Parts: sequence; structure tokens; C-alpha cells
Amino acid sequence: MIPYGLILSHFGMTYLKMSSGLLVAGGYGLFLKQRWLLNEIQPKIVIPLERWLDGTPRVTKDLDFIVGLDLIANMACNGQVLGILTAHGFAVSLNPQGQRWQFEKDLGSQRKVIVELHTPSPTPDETRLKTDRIRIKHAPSLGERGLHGRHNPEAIGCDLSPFVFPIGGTKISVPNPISWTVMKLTAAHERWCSAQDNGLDLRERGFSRDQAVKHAQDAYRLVAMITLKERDASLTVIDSIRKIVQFQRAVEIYTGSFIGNDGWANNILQDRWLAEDLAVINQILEQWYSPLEQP
Amino acid sequence: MRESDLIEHLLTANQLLPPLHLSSAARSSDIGQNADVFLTARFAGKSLEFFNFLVEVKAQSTPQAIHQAISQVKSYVKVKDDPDVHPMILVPFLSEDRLRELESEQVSGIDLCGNGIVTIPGRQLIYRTGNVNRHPESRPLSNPFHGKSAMVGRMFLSDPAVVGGDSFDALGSLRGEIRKMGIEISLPQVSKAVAALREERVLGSKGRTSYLLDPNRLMDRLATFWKPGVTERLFIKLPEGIAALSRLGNDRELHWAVKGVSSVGRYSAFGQGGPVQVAVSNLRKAMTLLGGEKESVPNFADIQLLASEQPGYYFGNEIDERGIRWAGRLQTWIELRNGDARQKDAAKEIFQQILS
Repeated sequence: MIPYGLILSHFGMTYLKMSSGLLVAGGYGLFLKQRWLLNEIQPKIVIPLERWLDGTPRVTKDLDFIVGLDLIANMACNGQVLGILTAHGFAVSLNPQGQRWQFEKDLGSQRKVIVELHTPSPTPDETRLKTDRIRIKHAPSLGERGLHGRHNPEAIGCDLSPFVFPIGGTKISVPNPISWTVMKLTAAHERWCSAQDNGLDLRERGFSRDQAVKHAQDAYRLVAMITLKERDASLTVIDSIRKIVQFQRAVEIYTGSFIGNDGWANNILQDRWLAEDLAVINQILEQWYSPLEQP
Repeated sequence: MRESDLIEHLLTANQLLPPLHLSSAARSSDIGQNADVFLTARFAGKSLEFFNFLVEVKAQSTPQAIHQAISQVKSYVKVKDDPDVHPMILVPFLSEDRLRELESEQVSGIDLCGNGIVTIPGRQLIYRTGNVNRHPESRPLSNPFHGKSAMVGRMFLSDPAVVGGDSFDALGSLRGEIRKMGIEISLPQVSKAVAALREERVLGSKGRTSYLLDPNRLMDRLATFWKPGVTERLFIKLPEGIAALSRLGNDRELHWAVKGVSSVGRYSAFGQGGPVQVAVSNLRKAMTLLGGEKESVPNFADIQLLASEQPGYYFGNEIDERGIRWAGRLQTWIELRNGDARQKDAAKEIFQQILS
């Protein structure tokens, strides 16, 4: 049994002392939010769970966290989080590109769980951090006493209006739905491009296609799970990030892939929702991801 | 279509109801019989077994006309007292319900659309149904189960015996009761609806009294022909919740009521999620009276306003102490009967409440 709760609890306690809490993103964040919605007296969400055609929470073996730049930059906290991971049997990934931001735990029988730490782009004047093509690290280097964040430029605005809910006595924070969909739309698009790449073998392309569909469906699921409070905060978040290049790219991805008969995601996913519910989801996404008006 | 046309058709037909063929036929009057036609038939390509029928013909296919034809032809056969002569009717169209009535009465019947039953004592020879009605008839009222006319039938479910019969005064009192329920209806409309309901054998009459003959069938027909007639819908947020609905009562010309699907909690332990659905006759007026703001996500709205002129929404409403108008039991049942599986299930309980 993976001690997700324990890990989250320790992470949460450590990080909460410093800022607004740990953000759990990816499929696991969606899983936790849906589980909370199922167990609680349901708050109003965009599409009530009983209307979902596939209402089973999607399990995942990976845990994606968004860690703030503050955590990487603070030597004490950085080391504390590394200690928690190590104490729970996680070791630095042997993958050269994943070292110190990707951690693995062997569950036996050739099964393993992977924790990935993602970090948004620092501002150009940030002096406490060093950045390379993949990582964001503490400056100066902490060596084996520290951890890194995977540089994730799409994690824009994650510090704005995170949604917080309790699971087993731990406060879980997930990104606001705008930042989260930017990440999901981008991931879906990149996987879809790989799936169309004739230079890759068929198996790899098939895997990429499946991943693209999964990310696209996750985008719909996370919109369907938006609470009234999140929806009402969304326009403020958009105002803050609308002009950032990653957001504008998400606008292009949404309009090119999720709308109309030419949109691959629309074609593949339209049978997974009731037509009127998909219309509501798309109405929200269209409102968010409408192209900027030319001055 | 006249009765004489149907008789002519029968006299010149080759096939009655395949594979039953006509061997000979004559007007009953020519051979001194009651009924309209006496005919002999046999099966094509089979043994030389012949079947004799006295046939009563009717130009209308209403339940009342068919019921009358069955009674008549049975009495003619009884008078003839010949075990080799069997009763049969011919009408333009026989529905599944009417075929079942013929079956239970052990009377044969054929129509002009290819439906029919041929039965003789101890043997059912043919039963054929499913062909559409190619001869819809003109009646005093096109459909007594739809629109404003349906309020007459609904009134009988509220009050099973309206005394008075066919006289102007009796229809007038029926009309008066319907108006008390909140619906304006003219006397000719009431008169035509009562006539049509009698033809459908939903209402019976005795002396000056019209009474409910078949409440199950009336409810079934009312539900089957129910059309919400919604022309526009709007989701709105109201901070004070449904208490705000009482403001709709400030305009006496506006018809409004909480729909049956949102009133069900008053009659049954049934949880209906989502915004409260309210039918209104004028959406703009309702919005002005309510205030609030439009909401694009249906599940975030407090109220869904639906523009509809359907009188069923506004008939026999129950008004609570806050002045909120709720759908009555019958309207609630009708909406649930036309809903999803859960709603259909809840409808069963309310059905019993109405008939008890």
C-alpha cells in the first residue's frame, strides 16, 4: 500500500509553514478532488457527478506535485522535503534527466511509484535559484542534500487561488482550474503531435495517442469538477496570466483541437459526456480560451 | 368516409385479412338479416372450411363507436341463434386497445389498414396489429388530452362526478370549476372536450350526470399527450432562494408555478437535484419581477425559468403560506411519468395517491 496520505501529510505540514500549501496536480490531484467530492455532502460543481458517463475516479501510479519556488530556494525546507521522501522509501530516480526532481519507490513485482516535483518559471531577477534546460535548483547547489524542481513553464499562475480541501485530516491544495487546464491542454497537444510523428514506431505513437486522449479528458473532467467559488475566481486568474505566452499557446491548442469537426479532442471525447453537459464544459473553456482581441 | 363507402368496400373486396379471403357477401337487408353485411370467408389455399359472419360497419373508429358496434352485432347474432354464424365489425382503424377489447368480447373485427382479429368460439384464427392509421377521422375535438381541452379531463380527476349532464347549466358549472383552478376556457371548448371524452369512453353519462368511467385510461392519455411547450429557458441566481418566487404574484396577468419535477418533494420522498424549475407565461415579466442575475452554468443556478403557455402547468396549483405556487399532484405525476427511470419510479407512488 502506497502511503500517499502520509506523504501528503508530511509535505503539507512542512510546506504550509512556509506558504499556502502543497499543490497536487496531474491525475492524482484529479483523483483526490473527485474522491473528496464523492465523500462529502457535495458542493455544487459544474457537472454533478451523477451525470458523468464515466464517474469512476481515475487511479494513477504517478504523483505530480507543483512545488513553489520558495520551497526550492529555502535550504531548510528543501532538505526537509527530501528527508520525508527518503524516509518513505523514495530514492532519487536513476534516469539521468530525472535526477533530484523525480523520485521512485519500488513496490516489488516490477511495480513502482514515481513522485515528480514540478516548478513554474522563476522571474528573471530571482537570485536564490539556478535554472538549466530541465531543472530549477537552489543556488548555490545543495548537492545530495537538496532536491530540484522540474522546470514546467506551463505551470503559470499556480500560486493564484488554489482550491483547498481536506482528505484524512490533511489539507490538500490543487491548482486553480485555469492553470491546471493550461498544463493539461499543453500536455494533450504535445502527446498528440508525437502520435502523428511518422518517425516514431507504431507502439510509441499508440502510447502517445492514448496519453493525449487521457490529458484531454482530464481537462474536461477538471472543468466538470469546478466549484462555484473556483468559477467565480477564474476570471481574476485569467486577467493575471492572459498575456503570458504559455496561456496564449493554450488558446491556440483549445481552438485548434477542441472545437468543431476538425478538433481531434472534440471528435474523440464527445461520446464520453452527455451532449448538454459537454456544451456547458466547452462554454466555460471557450470563455477562458478566447483569443485576445486585437487593439 | 361514410358507412356506405365501407360497406361498398367490403362487398367488392377480395381479401378480408390475409390469408382470409372473401367467398361471398351481401347486404344484410337484401337477405332479411340485421347488421349491415352477411359474408362467407375461407382461407386461401387451405381446406374448404367456410366461416360465416354478420358484420356491423361503422364509419368512426372511436372507442365509443366500436363499443357500440360490438354490442349491436353480438345482439344480432344472438337473435339469429345459428352456431355457424359469428359476429364481426368493420371500421376504418383498429388500435391495439380496441383489438384487445374485441378479443375479450370474442368478436372478430377488421379495418381498412390491415389490422384485425378473426375469432370463432374456441379458435383464434388471425390477430394482426401495428399498421398505422391511414384514415384519421374528424371529430368534434381533435384531441381532448392535449392543451386547454385537457383541463376538462383533469377536472374530472379532481372531482369525479360533475352533476348536470349535457345541459348548458351543467357544462357551465364544469367550466366554472376549471376557471377556479386558474384556467380560462370557453363553454364550447368544454362542450367539445366532454363529447370527445365520451367518445373515447373515458367519461360516461347517466341522465344529466357526466362521470369518470376510466380514470386509468384518462391519466395514461393525459401523460402520453403531455407536451411541455417550452419556448425559452433561462438560468438565474437568486441570493434569497425560492422565497423570491412570491414576487411573481405581484403581476396578476402572469401565469407561473413551480414545475412538477421540482414539486415532487411535497408528495413523495424523492430527491430532485439542480435548480428549481419554474414555468412562466412571460419570461421577461418574470425576470423583471424576480431580479437576480443570469447564470451560464445550469448547476450553479438557483432557479430555471421556462417560458410556456401550456395550461397544465398553471392548473390546480397548490399555494403555500409564502405565496409560492406548486404543481398539483396530477401535473407532478404527468411530468414524472415522462421523465427518466428514477422519476418514473417515483410517479408510481403519486399515481396511487391520485386514485385513492
